[in-house]
Amino acid sequence: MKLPSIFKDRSFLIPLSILLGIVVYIIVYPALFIRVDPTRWYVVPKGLPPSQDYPFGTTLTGQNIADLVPIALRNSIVIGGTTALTSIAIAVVLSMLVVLVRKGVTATMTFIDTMCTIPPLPVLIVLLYGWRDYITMPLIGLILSIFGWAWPSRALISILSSLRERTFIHTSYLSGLPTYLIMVKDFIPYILRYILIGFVNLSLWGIGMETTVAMFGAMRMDIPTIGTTLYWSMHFQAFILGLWWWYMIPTLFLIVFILSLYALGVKLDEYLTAGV
Amino acid sequence: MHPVVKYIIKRFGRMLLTIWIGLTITFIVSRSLPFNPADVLVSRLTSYALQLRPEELERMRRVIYDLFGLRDPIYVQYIKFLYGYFLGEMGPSFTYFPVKVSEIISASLPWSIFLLMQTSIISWLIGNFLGVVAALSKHRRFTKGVEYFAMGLQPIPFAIFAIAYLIFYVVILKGSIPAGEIMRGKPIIEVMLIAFRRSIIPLTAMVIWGWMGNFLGMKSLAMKLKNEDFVEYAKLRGAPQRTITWYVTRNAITPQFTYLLLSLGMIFTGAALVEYLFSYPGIGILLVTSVLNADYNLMLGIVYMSIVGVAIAAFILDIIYPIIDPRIRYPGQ
Repeated sequence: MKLPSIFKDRSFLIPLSILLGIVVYIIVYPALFIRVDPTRWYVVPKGLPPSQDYPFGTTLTGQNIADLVPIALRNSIVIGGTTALTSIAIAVVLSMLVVLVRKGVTATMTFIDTMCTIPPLPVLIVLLYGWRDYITMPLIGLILSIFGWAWPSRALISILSSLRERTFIHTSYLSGLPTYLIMVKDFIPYILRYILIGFVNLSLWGIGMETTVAMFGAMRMDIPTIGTTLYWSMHFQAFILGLWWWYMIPTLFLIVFILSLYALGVKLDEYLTAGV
Repeated sequence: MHPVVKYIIKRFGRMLLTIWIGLTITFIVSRSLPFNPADVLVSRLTSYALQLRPEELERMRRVIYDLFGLRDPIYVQYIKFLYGYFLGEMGPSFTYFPVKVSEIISASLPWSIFLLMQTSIISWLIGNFLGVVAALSKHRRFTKGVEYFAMGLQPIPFAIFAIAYLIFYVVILKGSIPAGEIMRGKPIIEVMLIAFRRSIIPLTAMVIWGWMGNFLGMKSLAMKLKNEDFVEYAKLRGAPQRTITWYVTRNAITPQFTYLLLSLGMIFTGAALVEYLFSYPGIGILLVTSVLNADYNLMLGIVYMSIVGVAIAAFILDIIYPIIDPRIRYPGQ
């Protein structure tokens, strides 16, 4: 079988391999090499710089950063992924319903615009802080998607509304194709590209939002995410004490992950657009 | 009725709708918490005054329940909640009991709106200006460089950038963060100057980040408009470059303005974070205080007031919109 041309493109392969490397680090490494629960405090000497024993150093809370980072990054990614998945699902279903039913478009758009204007941070802080004892990572993602769906819905409704007026959709209608098949066969291929790029963007938004909420301390602070790790490093004055490895290494991993995910999304988008 | 007046009335209605949806969200959030904020207050007060007799404790609980209106059916609670919050009656703060939440927030909210408006307008102007210049410029390599820079930085969460900026400013540049000053009794210009001085560092952090979204949006819009017939026609009739730039800007500015209005909520999130990181006396600091003290009443007040604040900011910007979009001034022509 011949490989698609995108697999020969270096600007696609580099972010893909970085991403795979990170995935191996956050899934395989914890399963094989971590012996002590990395969420526990004071299990290793405090505040050591990177060395042979501790390649990424240790924190003032006595945690090994090499063990902490994969868990924290994994949790952040789970949050981002759940947010993106739920928000996109809501956006797709809602926009399709609104566009196909052809009623309430203006009212829905007004509601969506209002939801876009509402600042999500205070609401999320109250919800995540209030529920912090019961919260799991996917649940944080679900809570974030209360606000995540509005922007993609707005874009999808406008894309679908213009698509609806195209001749081939009219042909499908007139030839008696059932509505759900019009959705699946006519609409989905066109919005697939947007869904993909929206998924990447929403994941990034979710990760960023979680980091922000965690920096306010409004989360379960004992579960490591990139946000809670940064919170604790700020709390222990790591900036002033010069413990750069505590905040730099998790942040670098997050940035590398985000940029490679984004580059991959852009490349895939270019590849899919070229076909249309 | 003049179309602009009609437009403003409609936008005012939109602002009220936003506030109402905000109130409803605040109500749902407050009632969906796994515990009762009133009980938290009762237990907190009990721990302050351990020698209370059981009947006194019971009476206090009843007073607080009445204060929160928790003994009515849910729809009565909702109506009372709407009425109370609309009038600014949000009950007492747990941390600063018995000071009212509304008093605490009304001291911080103007600061936040001040920063929010400055940030959004300045980064919008810079981003759009650079966007048009980049789209029409002949220095391809330079503009591509700026574009790749913006595209590469934009996906990184603002929280990460804000911390990086804080470290850069405080640890590397050894810069100082302006402290508070007494403002009471001073002339308004001096007060504005003090406020501006305090806002300048969080403002730079927000602007350094904020122009990029506007830049990328404007550039792609301007690139599309550049190939439109009317621009081609202007070129053929020998219009100077400045006129062509103006044509493109004028046409791209309307959707960019809509984007600005819609993104206010997101800008607010970033603003709250830098307020907290750079000790700016806005809602961000209050949010941290309320979280540290588990002050749920203050949190709910902040939820509501930040929605109101953003809705007001959006309404103020909305009033400018008829100047930008002639379709509102002369509809149907």
